[in-house]
Amino acid sequence: MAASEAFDNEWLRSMGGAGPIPRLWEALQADGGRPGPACAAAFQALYAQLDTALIGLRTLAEGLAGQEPGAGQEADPAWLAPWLQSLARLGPWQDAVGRTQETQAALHRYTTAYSECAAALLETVRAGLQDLERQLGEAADDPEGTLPQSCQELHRWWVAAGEARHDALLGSERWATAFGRLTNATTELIGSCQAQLDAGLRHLDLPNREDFIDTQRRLVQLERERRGSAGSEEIEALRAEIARLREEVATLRRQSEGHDSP
Amino acid sequence: MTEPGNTGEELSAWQRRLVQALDEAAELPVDTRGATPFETYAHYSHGATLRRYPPRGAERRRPVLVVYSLVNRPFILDLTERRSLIRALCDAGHPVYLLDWGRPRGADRFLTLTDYIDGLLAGAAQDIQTDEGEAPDLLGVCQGGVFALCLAALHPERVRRLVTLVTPVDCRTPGDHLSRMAQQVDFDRAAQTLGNIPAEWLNGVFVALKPYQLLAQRYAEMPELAGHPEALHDFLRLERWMYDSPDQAAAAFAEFARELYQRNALLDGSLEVAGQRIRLGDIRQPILNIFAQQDHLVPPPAARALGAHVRGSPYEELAFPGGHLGVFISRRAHRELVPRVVSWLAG
Repeated sequence: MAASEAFDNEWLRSMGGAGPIPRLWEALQADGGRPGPACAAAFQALYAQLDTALIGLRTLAEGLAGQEPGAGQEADPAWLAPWLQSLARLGPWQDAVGRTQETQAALHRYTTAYSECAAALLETVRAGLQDLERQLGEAADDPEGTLPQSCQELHRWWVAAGEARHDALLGSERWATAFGRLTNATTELIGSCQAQLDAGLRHLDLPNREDFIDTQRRLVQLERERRGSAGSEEIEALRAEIARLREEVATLRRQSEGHDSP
Repeated sequence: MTEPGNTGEELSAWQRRLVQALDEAAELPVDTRGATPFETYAHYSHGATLRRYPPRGAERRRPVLVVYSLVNRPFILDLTERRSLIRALCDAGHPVYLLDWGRPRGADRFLTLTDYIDGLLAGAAQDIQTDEGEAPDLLGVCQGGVFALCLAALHPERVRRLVTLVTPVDCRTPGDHLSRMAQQVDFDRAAQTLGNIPAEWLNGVFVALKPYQLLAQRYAEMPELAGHPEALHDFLRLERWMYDSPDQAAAAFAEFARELYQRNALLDGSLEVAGQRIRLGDIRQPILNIFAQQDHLVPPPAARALGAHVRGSPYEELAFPGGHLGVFISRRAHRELVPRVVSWLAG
């Protein structure tokens, strides 16, 4: 199917409206090509969108803070929590309950880390847009400054401003910490889900992840041993070859000495 | 100043060109084998193969073994006939060998750097030496450059000369965002939990280093390629290459990230491969170290650090004005850089 068939006019219109730049360009055009009230309003609308998302993330992060499962806050009344925690570690289901608690805690840490990363990125996007607004204003104020002459050019300005801010974030300690925390939390969450699944499969007497890994480990060990023994067989063969050649050289030398002697 | 009311027209024109570019792209095949014919010279364990590209020039030169990174597929070195480092080497008379690491399968999660360097790479270099009658020159690219340095230190008899392209040696230099992001990640736990590291994850990290350029800018400019089939084909091949990545063998990935990016072990001489410490100062082969001045993956100081640590070998370095990929695929690289590599290898 050709792209022209797949994408109808409605799709094309929605593509045109997507992203901040067509809207900003439209506003810049409405202001006669120089940033004015329409442009300022368009920027403000974009900031408002980002701020709403940021407030949502911060609310989530604040809501999660200090509420890690196992900390006791979810129990009602709260003074029961330590007892419930201890009780959960007793009896025949303690392993299963323990795994569930670990998964809850991992999910909590993942959500916290995710909101932290997302907030940092959104702040960067906002800062990039602010830089773009400032650069447009400076170019308009500068008698020798040139403003974007097309939507595409405005897009390039936005890419440059946004990438510079993003680059600054990547080089910061804040991002190194947030990224490390999110990656580790994701690993932990996946690991706790694996543990749950493994236990379920074991109860059904079906092979689980641990079994596969164990088989793979033995396979690799066998391959290494085979290569090692193949190598030592080769060395033995080479040693035998060297011994044979030395013997041959010695024989030839003896024969040669016999010829040379008067 | 632009006339008011042009916004809709400009966007409509952009959309029409996009549709045209997408239509034209649908007709173009994207072959990931590379542009230069080769024979599969040897099969090794774990799906690795050794390719041989026959020499084409009248003058016969020493064999070159290309050691590519594990992270992407090597066809970036042979992207098109006009932009092929491999073809340029063949045209100069070198028999070119390329060690294709293949794609790790489930049980390959236990492969270590020792398996890759002292096993597969050392074995390939030895096979070439046996068959060609002389040790090959090594051309290591990015992570492959690290592997080539390790081989030169471990088995000097298997390497004649060494070219390192955009190779990270010091992972603690300013502006090395990749290294900074790696500092607090528990790679061993990730490898243990995830097994082989999915390519999509790594691709996500690489794209996240330049999201505006690699997502917003790259595709916004695609409509410009409508009506330019050759440029569109190049774009599609590069696009395929960027995301046609193999998963990473878990143990080797964790070892590389931990030892190089977190501990900087190649630089301080504490990296161990096959039970031996890799000391850059022990390398005696002539080295040509090429780095890209605008490289966001391997910043120039990260690559140039090699010069201060290989005191025992004749050392030259070349700065290329461009980014990480520009070294292989830019027109300028093929006009200026590749001839200098060919000329250096003839030394």
